Amino acid sequence: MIVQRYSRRYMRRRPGRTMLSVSGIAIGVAAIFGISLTIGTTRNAYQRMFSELAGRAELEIVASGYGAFDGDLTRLMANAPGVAAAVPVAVAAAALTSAGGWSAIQVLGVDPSRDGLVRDYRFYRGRMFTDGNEVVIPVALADRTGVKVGDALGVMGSAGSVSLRVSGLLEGGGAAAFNGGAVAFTSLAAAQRLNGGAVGITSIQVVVERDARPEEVQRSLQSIVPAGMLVQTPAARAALGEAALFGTERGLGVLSVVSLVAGAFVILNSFLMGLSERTRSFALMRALGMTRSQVVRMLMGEAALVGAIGAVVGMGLGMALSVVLNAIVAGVLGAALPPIRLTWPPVALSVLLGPGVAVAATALPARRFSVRSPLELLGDRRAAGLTERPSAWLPGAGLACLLFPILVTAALVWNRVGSERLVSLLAPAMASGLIGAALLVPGIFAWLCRPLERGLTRVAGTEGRLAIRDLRRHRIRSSLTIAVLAICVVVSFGFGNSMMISVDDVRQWVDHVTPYDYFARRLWPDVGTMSAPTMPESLEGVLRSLESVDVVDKLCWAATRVNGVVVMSEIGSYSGAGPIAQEVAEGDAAGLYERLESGEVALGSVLAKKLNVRPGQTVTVQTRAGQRPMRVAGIISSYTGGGMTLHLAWPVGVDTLGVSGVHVWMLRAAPGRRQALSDALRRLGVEHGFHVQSMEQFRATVDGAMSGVVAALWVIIAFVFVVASLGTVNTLTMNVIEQMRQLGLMRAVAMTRRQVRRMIVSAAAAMALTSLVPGVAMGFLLAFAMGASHHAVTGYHVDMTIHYSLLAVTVIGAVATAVAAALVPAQRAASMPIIEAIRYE
Amino acid sequence: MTTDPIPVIRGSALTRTFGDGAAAVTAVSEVDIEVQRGEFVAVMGPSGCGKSTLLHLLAGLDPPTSGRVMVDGRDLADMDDDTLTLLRRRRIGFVFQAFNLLDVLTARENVALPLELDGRRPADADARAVAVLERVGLSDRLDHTPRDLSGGEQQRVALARALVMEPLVLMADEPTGNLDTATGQAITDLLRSLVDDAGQTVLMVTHNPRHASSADRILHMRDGRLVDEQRMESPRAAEALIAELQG
Repeated sequence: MIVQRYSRRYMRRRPGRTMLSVSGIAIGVAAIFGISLTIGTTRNAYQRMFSELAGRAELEIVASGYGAFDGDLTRLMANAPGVAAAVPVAVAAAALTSAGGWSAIQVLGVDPSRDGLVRDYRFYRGRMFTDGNEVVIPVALADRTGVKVGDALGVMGSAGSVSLRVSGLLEGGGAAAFNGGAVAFTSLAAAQRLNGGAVGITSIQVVVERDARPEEVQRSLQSIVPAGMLVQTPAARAALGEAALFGTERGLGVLSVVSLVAGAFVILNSFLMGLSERTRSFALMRALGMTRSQVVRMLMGEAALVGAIGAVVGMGLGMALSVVLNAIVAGVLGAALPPIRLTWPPVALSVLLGPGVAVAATALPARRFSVRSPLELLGDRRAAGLTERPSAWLPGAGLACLLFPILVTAALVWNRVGSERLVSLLAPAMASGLIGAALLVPGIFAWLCRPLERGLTRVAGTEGRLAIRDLRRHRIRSSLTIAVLAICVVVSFGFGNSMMISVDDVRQWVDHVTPYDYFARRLWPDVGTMSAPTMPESLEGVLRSLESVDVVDKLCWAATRVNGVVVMSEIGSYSGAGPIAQEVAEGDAAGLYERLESGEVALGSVLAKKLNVRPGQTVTVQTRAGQRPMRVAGIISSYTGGGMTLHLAWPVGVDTLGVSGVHVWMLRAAPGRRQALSDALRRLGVEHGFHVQSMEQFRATVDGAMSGVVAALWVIIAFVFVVASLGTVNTLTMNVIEQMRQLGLMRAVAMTRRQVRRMIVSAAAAMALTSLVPGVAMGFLLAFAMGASHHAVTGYHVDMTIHYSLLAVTVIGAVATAVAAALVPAQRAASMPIIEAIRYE
Repeated sequence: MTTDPIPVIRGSALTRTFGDGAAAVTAVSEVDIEVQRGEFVAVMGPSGCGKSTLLHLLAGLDPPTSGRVMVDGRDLADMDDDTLTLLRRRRIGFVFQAFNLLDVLTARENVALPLELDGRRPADADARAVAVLERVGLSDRLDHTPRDLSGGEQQRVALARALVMEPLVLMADEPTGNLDTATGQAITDLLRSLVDDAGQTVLMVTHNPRHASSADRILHMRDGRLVDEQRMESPRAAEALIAELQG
């Protein structure tokens, strides 16, 4: 009780240090919590989207590419063994048209007489639709769009725009939560009408009998469905969205681990200061009969308490971070993601990690501290020893820790192990590297002391020299602060550079693969479902007849499977070689499109890497006629669909996947006729229901998404630097307190207030400059490793360029942060009364 | 030297050397010492003669370079750190010159700390701490933190903390060193009364002859060795000692 009270009162008496410790853990937990919550929410969004749609159905039957098929199959399935109910669903990708613009919506055509076997409809107001002219929507969607029961709802499908009367509003949850609530229910016929009059349904949802095992029913149904049909769990559709998330997860995972390691160093730093300050108290308690294990328990208890508070604060910050990240991920994926939902796994992870990291970071020094004899501790404030004398094993351990990321990076470059396994090692490898760099800091600092002393003496005179000597006297404490600053430099330069390279690459990719002036589309499909209303192919004749047009190309996307893996297929029709030739990473670019037209396929580099397939080999594509072997003509470097793409020529796509309709027309104007083409397209858009987007607008959209990523990067960097500045304040304040008497004597003898300030600011600058050596070196390694992992995952090389502006910002940021953080302790030292300082014990 | 067969403290041929080789300094050299139950022994000598080091060896705070320390018949050399810590906690009370109170704890919390470290229930520990503080005359200062107490009061709290476990022996290292004469004398009188009224064994290091004269026996140290021993059998002996030492 008293021991705990002692700990609590000490923490209250040192609010700054306690806050620093808490913030150290909070930043790490915030990153982990925010990132896992975002990733979890996004993954869940895709999984729940389909399982909510499925209701009580445990299985669904779909066509390859999730296209339409004959609804008669429903009756056959309903009578199959183990099946309690089978109901048809026709999904139509559509846009809700209102005065405010278009927004994506999924229209579900269902059979109202049988759909209750699978889904519950809880009406907030109104009733179920009775015919194909009526629609039921969630109440939240009605509120958002200002629609009431009885109003008309404008819906643009592949067949054009229709008006449906709202017959009822659904309460939230269940099927009403499908697609983030952007959903409408109508009759099968109405959905088919929206899909361009396509006869058929898009899935059969199957409720399994209570005593039947779903896996067995799945196997049995698969054996009786026609070729080209798949029996799967509803959540299996999430694979496409999950694949698209992989790259984002990789980067965020590394960032969260880096943040956690930074947090561990911050708490270790402040923990050692607390130990140093309380050496005498602990010595006394040991003398009074506190055993070593009681000392360790007390210190671990303090660390765990700080960790627990840090975890709670971190979860709050993480929630805010996840909201920001969610918006960024939604922008990158082009999908309407649901709001962040608090789930147990990130909470449990944070609750474990907060105290766990705090205890782990402090366990060794606490143990070492506890074995000191009470008399030794009583005699010398610094007798804690571990606070001032670096152990001889530090450099060896540091180099050993550095070996891990170096080996992982080398393996990534040579790709000796499976890519995904290697990439999953990247985060722990970087954590190890950061710890290694931090362990080397005392040695680096000792090595830099002489040149730093010379340089600072030249700039700041004797005060510079005194500053270095002061830092040398507290080598471990100084080193820990340098390590925290170095981690900031790693995040800022290493992670920042890596992200900037990716952002630049995306921008370059946009520039060289889209040699068009305009795009005509209804909505861009989101990468998770690849669903969006299409336009009729017949529009091509209208577009080609425009005098101002030179090139008319078209694209359509659909999901399918290659070698059993769910992928996005991009079906394109190009004039000449088309932009696809610009993206060839492997294989012969010349004549690629001709080979695609002859029935070969191209694979996205990520997919090719995942399947370990090269040009000339054969893959098995799930077509509407069943599995079909297709020769690979080339590998394409593409950001579309996260690189998990199958590229088909238009006629082949229509033939094999049965796609109909065009998602986007890509147009180039005849020389000097750009404006005329723009005007003509806008007129046609009104008539045929599509939007016209210029290349500049498209680029601006991509830039906007990338700017969001860059803005988030700056926020994270600023956040990390704020914590580093707190660490610097802590170290310098502790130095000032310990040297109060010495500073008083110097002030009494000759030193002016300004000289005192200059001495302390010089110490801060010296720490920041030292941090640049391990920070920039590790930053290079991180950027290189991220680049190598990019290559390992995506299969194409991104040039490792150094963003010197970022390096400059990092250097200036590190020094400015440390110097700014030094101002408070400098002022405190300069303004203390001399007599009081001399008497200070 | 007494020859009681079961002394509370016995040090045999105690030597403590700091440093190695040419830099080695012997603070205590071949000292034999015994303290009997209920005895008040003072160790006197000039600064740096090894008084405090001898006390630290006897309290198990520092291991001797050679020689043995027996507390209540048990050899400290045979004990691991935890056993030694428990012995220090339960059998030895220690008072420092610099009070050494934990400044974030109140007087009663400082005193109750050893009891709680020993696993006593907080309420029991608190009640016992209050009783001991009352015994040293601090019943009106229970909830004050050290910064709100005078030097003498702080040393009384330290004394109460040393007594709260009812130790076999109370060791005091210059307990009056940081106090003015009157307050120092009051502390010495308190120690004397503990010996007379409760049969407490006390071993005190001091350089003040007046305070040393309160003891039953005075051991004189010089250059790490015990060089003389005096018994204070009458007030006159004490006065003679004071006059002699004060020149």
